Amino acid sequence: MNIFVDYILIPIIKILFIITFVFVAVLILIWLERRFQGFIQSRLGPNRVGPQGILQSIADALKLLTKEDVVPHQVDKFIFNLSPIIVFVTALVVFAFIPFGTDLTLFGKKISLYLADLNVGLLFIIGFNSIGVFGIILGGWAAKSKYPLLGSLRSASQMISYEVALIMSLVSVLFFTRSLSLVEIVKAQQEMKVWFAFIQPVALFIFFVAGVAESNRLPFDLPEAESELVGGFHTEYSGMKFAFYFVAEFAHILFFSALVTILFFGGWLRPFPNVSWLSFLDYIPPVFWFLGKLAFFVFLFMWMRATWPRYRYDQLEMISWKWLIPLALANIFITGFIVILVK
Amino acid sequence: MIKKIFRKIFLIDLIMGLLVTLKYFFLGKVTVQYPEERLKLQPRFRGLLRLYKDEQGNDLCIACGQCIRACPDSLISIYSERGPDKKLRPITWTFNLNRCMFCGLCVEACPTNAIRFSHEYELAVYDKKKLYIHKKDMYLDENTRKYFKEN
Repeated sequence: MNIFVDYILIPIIKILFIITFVFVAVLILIWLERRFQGFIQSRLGPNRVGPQGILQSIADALKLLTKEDVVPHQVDKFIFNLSPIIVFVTALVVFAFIPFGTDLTLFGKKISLYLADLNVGLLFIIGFNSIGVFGIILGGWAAKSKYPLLGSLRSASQMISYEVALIMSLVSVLFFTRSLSLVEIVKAQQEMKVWFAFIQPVALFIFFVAGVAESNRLPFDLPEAESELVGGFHTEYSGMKFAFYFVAEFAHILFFSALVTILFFGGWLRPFPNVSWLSFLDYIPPVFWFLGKLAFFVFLFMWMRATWPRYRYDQLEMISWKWLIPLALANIFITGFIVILVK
Repeated sequence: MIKKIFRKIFLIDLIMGLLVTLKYFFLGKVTVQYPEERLKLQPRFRGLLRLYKDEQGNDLCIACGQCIRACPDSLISIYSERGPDKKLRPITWTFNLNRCMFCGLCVEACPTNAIRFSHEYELAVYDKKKLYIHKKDMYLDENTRKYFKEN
């Protein structure tokens, strides 16, 4: 009975909870982004469906569900149908390893606020994220149409250039944690009594820039590039398949915000965990600290989208190969040197 | 030079851009929530054409036909007869709103100011026949105000 509860019932509840969280968060994010962008552009954005328009994305989802599933005659049907699933599933799976807070005690049972704590969690997450890019590449290629193909080519080279910088920036953080488990990374920040953002600002910068590029957001949204490539890789997609891509894009934003929070901003820890006179902040549960930081980075993503224009393609490659990767390498060497000296 | 490098390293220009958009986030919005809010119309706004009467309630229109001749799309047609005082009065006065481009040439041409622009602009109907507006619906009064709202 106990085994049933521990190994089947609780994980299933957690899975349902995580999936619901991601879906609800994505629906709210889509609405929020349109509203934020409207505000920044001196207009109001969607505000008619429900209070302040909060049900707008539900209305949009229903509209997309009832639309005809158009499959153009020239496409490679199997891959065309498979690629939204790849993108969607990989965008959801990564949330299994995100720790939302410290352990809770419910009905006398200790419940951890993550589904799994792999000792190679970070590697697994980054790997799954890279598989997600394959969904974009294959989707654009299977459409057999020029704009999606251009979009997926851009996505492929963007993945190659930015994933290197992304992973290299993580190495200098892992010098301090000596573990790839996300829970251990937060606990290491608790032990060191400082967020890694303050001791690794360069790594934070590289990780964030590469993360924006990985989730295809402005100023690095070249695979989509509405003004150049119609819709980029999802030009030929419509109805629910397009909705899958769209949800996955916002899930990526959520995921990268969560990852930045965990790796550099102490996950569920309150600000300045070493300052004792700030201990009244402990009355706010750790989950809310995590969600608050998450919300800030999500807002930053939207803010950047509303502000900056898109980089040109050669600029995009130049930023990665000429600046981010050398910077990440230098950061690794300097950090490693200092770590050895201190020891 | 040092300033330039500083600007580049700390991405000052990008952050300035972010601050500009943040400013506009909090500034006022220009959207007019149309059915609830409406813009104030200017006095010379070109709305639906209307016929007007003088103080005694007689037609200002003398059926001279200047508006028929002025209209580039021939949208106005008048059938007139001489009344007991031997003056021309319009019996039917039909205006076709279908193709009206609100150029105002008929308003300029009218010698008695009988036809003028009003401030009505919600002119959508379900039946195209309703866009042929006859004389009794051309005057501005309580009944004709409802003309475009009933459908």
